[in-house]
Amino acid sequence: MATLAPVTTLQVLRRAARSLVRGVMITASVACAAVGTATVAVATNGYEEATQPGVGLTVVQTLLLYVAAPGVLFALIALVVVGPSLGKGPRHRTGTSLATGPVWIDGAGGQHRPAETVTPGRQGASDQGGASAHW
Amino acid sequence: MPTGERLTERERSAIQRAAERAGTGTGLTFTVCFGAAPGDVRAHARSLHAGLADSAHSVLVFVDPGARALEIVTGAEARRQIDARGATLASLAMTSKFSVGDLAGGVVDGLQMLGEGGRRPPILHTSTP
Repeated sequence: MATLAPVTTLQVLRRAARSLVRGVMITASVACAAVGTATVAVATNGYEEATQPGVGLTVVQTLLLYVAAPGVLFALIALVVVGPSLGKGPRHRTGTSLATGPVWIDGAGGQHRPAETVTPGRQGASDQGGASAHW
Repeated sequence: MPTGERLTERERSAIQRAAERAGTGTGLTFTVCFGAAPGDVRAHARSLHAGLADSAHSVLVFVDPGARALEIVTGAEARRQIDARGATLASLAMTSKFSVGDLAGGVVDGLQMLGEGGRRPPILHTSTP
């Protein structure tokens, strides 16, 4: 079984010296960064280069920038969204009959022209299907 | 018929295009009628459908805006492709738009659903390579 060697005074001194060197290095690094920043700040009258205030806005400019411009942008977006449905024309009121008589539209190019072929009073066939609905 | 509104030419052409597309995919003839039924709406729609040329292969969509009634009538052959469930689904799609006043849009949507539901699948095994 191995036994631990006793720690000598020389080894303790070496460890202390290494810690001291490490601490000095860290302190020096932080100090250098702080000095560099402070130098730039002093050179720009206390402001960093990108944070210097520019010329102030007048009331009219402020209103244009923060009220009128967003309002115009809002109106443009609303127009783009609502515009297509506005162009579709008038909608039909629910529960209102059409002003004209029966309107027939077929997908056979008018060949089925039901207006001529429909026999009034004719009974439906028993083999018809489909569905009914109300709204 | 009380004074009401008219379908625009744009709406008519949109419905006609939808009926043509549905007919092309299914081989059936789709006919749309906006009118007023004198009595029972279903019976009236069925009698109108029976009077169509080639009614067996026809689908009639009858809309009575005044009575807020919709009838879909399929012929003997057409009902094989468009069953009651498909017709009911299409009628729901239509009435949801009718309720907000969009008659033409509802019919176009319904025709599209009827056309997709009744589309005949292509028979590939009879094709020659």
